[in-house]
Amino acid sequence: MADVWVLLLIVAFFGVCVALVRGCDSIIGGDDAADLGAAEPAEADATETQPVGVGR
Amino acid sequence: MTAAGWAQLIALIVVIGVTAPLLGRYMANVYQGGPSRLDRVFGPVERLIYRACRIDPEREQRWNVYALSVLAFSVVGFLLLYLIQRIQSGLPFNPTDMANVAPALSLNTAVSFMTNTNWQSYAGESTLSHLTQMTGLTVQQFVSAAAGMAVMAALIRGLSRAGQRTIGNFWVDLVRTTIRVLLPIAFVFAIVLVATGVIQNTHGFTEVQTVAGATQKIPGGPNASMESIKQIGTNGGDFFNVNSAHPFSNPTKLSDFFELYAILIIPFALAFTFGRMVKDKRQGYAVFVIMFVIWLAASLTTIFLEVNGNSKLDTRAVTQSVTASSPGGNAEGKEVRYGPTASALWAASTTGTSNGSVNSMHDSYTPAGGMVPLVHMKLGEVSPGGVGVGLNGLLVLVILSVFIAGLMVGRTPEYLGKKIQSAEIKLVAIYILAMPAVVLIFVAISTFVRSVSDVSLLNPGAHGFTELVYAFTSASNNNGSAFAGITANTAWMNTALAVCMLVGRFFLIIPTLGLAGALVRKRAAPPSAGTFPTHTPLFVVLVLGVVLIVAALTFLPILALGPLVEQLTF
Repeated sequence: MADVWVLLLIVAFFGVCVALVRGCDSIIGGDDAADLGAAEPAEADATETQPVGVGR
Repeated sequence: MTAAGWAQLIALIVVIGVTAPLLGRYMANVYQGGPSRLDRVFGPVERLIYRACRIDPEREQRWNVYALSVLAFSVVGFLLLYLIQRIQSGLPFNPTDMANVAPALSLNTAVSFMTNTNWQSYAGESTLSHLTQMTGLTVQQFVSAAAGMAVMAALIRGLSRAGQRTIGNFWVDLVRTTIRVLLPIAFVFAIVLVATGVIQNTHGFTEVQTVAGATQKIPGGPNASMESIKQIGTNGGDFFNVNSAHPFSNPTKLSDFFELYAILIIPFALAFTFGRMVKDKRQGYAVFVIMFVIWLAASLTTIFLEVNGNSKLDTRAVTQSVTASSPGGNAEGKEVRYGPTASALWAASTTGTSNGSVNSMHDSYTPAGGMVPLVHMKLGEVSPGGVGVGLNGLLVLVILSVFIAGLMVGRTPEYLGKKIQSAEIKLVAIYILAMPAVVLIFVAISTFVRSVSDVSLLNPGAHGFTELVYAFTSASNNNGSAFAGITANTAWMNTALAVCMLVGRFFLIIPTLGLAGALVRKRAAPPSAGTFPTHTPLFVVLVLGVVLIVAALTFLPILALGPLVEQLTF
């Protein structure tokens, strides 16, 4: 039973962490086209991975 | 302070000063993915891992994907380590017949090593099997350190790139850090440690007859391999309960010197990595100077407080001066082979680097001497800080300093050409508030918990309160050292400290990556006449002031109730 409580604690904590990621994302706000370089399309989905950028 | 003490300190500074720039340059190349002569060695290994794990090293991640990758990797690491502890009695390589670890202690230990804290509520040689120590703890000592360094690389990319959205690939950073930085250094250092007398074997306990005729059990185990990454990765968790005070972990003054160097080298070198990656070495020098000044001040203060001895013993005809058989000073809780200077230098260095190892018992320091390591942690462990996370913390404080400077002169604050605006400062605020919040809240709650006063605290009054504050400060800063004098293996302490370690790790990593994600999109403005330079002595002094003021405003009241009042009544 104690193992279940431990797992619940961990799941709950990492759930809060995911919420914090979303909260920070909302703080940062949407992409500002003026700030983005031409090499990076602004309409990409927020959760997708991107090819290597030009500044690498 | 003796001539030998000065010699050790100066030698340490010289060796770090010579080697840190070289290692910093090497690590910058690792994170920038540049060609290297070592590609022939490491390249095939990396490609094998990428293929096995289906990682596309050419695809980069936005900050939120990077953060979710860190979280996912950490959850899996926790589950594996928790499981290994819970079933270790049925697993092989358990020559000492260790039983399964209890759930609360398994939780605490798994969180502790997954978060790079290495707080030890257990005694290694009497709780964990060799398999748990090797495949559980030691593996986490590598990958948790690598994860922290990966996050640092992401933050630096956020500062150095302009008009982009990606900050690197967490899996690539993790693999490259482990394969190209931590593993080779740890391998070489493990051999050095074996040469100095640190044990490395697969024995269980060996029964021997002492000279007096009694029987004694001598523990064995694969210690040097754990000891090396314990120090290189600023982890701190030892094979043995008394940590680096144990003669099998730190047998001589020479091993003590090597281990101290191992603790400090990567964090200091990362300042030079930063300068190279942002293509302005002066910025790296400024960061290095900030780290160095705080570390040196903390080290010298602790050394002098402990070398001067315990004033209460002066009236009891106890000799505290240096003699042929005694290193002098406040000797309680210290190993004679190190003496007060090497002990105090270790205490200051480990609490500035999120390395939880101890070679002396901080509980036995003078109140003021014990307060310095405590305050050193409360500064946020930025001097020079844990591998990766220390530089992150310092860069966050640098951005706060830039913001304050901007407010003072009435200009939009900029750092490396990037405007620091509302979003960045909100993320900085989350970062700075998370650690003090959990420290203060959990210390306050713990003072009302019966098991804390009845079982955990072994001293009354201000000293006992300091033990409690130290424990939660250590956990929340992912340091892992203990003040000693506290029994942490209780349900409350194991759980509360685990929560503090989790918050201290991930509530700082997430806003750090958010900061990287916010900054990487911005275009860098060229420096103008109104740009506040961030590589000058004036800026260094400003950041030092901000570091001290933030910590003082947050923690002075709690320090007044603990070590300060104890020192005043000493």
